[in-house]
Amino acid sequence: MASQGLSYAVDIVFCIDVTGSMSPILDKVKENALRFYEDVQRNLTEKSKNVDELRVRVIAFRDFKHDGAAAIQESPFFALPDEQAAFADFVGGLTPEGGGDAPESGLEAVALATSSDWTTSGDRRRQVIVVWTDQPAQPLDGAGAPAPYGDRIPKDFSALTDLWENDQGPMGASSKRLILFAPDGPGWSDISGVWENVVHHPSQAGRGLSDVDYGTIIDSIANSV
Amino acid sequence: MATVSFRFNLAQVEGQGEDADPILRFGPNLGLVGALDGMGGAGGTVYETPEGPRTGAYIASRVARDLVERRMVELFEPEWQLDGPATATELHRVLVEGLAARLVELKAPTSALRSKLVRALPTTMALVALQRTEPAGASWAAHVFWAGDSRSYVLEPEAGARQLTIDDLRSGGDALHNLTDDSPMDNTISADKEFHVNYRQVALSAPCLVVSATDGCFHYARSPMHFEHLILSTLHDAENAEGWNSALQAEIAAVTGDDAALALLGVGADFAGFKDLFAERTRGLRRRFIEPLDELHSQVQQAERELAELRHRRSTLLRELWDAYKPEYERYLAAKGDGS
Repeated sequence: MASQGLSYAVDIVFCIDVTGSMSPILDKVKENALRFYEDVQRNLTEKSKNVDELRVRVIAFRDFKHDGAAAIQESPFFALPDEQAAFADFVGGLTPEGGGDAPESGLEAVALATSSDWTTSGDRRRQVIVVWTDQPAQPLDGAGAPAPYGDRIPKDFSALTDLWENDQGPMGASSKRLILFAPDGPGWSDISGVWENVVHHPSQAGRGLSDVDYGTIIDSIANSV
Repeated sequence: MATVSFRFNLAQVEGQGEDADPILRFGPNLGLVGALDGMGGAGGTVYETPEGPRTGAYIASRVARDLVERRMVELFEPEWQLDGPATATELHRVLVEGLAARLVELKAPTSALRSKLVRALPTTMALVALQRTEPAGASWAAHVFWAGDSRSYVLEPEAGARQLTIDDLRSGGDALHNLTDDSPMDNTISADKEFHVNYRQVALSAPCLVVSATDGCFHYARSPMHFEHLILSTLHDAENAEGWNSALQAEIAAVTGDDAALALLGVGADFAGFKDLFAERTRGLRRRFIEPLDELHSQVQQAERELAELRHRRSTLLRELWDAYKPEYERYLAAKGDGS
């Protein structure tokens, strides 16, 4: 038999809407982000899955059409627990502002997250994108994203779908998960109706999430499907 | 018929294992060997039950096990050869109706989640129904039914392990590739999604060992050959069937990262007979497959340790030498310029 079990490398990218409308709930979302990776790690560890590497990064997003290049704030991956303080500082520094009217550039954030510098270590990997937003997503039309983001964002929803569904794409077929805490509406409902390995909680950035549904989400990440 | 048989069910978290106790029944001319694995990733929804909160995965494997075992016992007659395709259709019907009824009884909590990933009461199944094809003869028909990535095998004294099921994985059925690929399944039993029960019939000749196992048993082996060696080496070293069972459990528990359930039935020989019959195969397997792979694995591990040590030494030396070099290198950067 192999040596003691398999090692898991877990990467989580948090896509957080930081437009002005998130003001009443952004602090709660920040708390949830800090708690989320701990719950994933605990779930894996309880099942004797060795988490050899755990990294998180943040993509805070607003609206390219309203905020230009300032619509995106990206962090690098933070290796936890060593860089916990830097991660907390980055999250703590996010402030709700801009965005104009709905919708926001949520799909662009998902596209940038999909192309993250995912780890290649570990016997098995989990590559998780978590989105918190209270608004529908701006349609991808190939015109909204300024440099340096334009080249990293597919030109339409179909191309973004291809990016996600491609088994040879940047994310592993078995390791990827997309968790949406986002309202029912353009963009988000299209994703949960079509894409594989997605769990969508239709809500204003996770408001009203039951413990049962939260547990289901964590299990869907920690276990094979 | 002389037989040897045992089964076990190892849970990673006591009382919360998502594998069902395996199916193991046998008579002079019949045998039933099955393993079912509730799918934790898709079936994490927690239901309130009289025994306390249980995940859909936990419930699914047990409900499906009871449904399948009961129906197979009803269908299985020594005098009649089983109609395999019709039985697969019947098992599908029983599972669809039974799981749907159980889901209603559970009064499923209202979920707001939308997902093609999350399922109601999802489980795998691998089941072999063995039927002797001639009175007191050595020929057996193995009717194999499965859905998902649990597996059934036959181990024959000369040929060794042969997989009877094909993993229902999106990536395909290569057993070595699937050890590391962790591919999503593309067909599993559940209460809310379409599925099918695969079937095939294989002619077996006793003496042989039939095994059904969940992926916690074989997925943590270094290779399919190592899994066969695990079964045979523990047989080789055991004094009796109980000792074999215990040793196999201990070996799997030491390395697995998942719940692990296995049922084994030998037909055509008793424990001592199987030990003799598989002795040469065990030696040959070790010599040809296990020792070369393990030796190279040890060398790789040693090289990785040495590489890590070299990298650490390089990093330390680089820092030490930079500290020695730096003062002169930065002399004019540190000093205040006089402007001349």
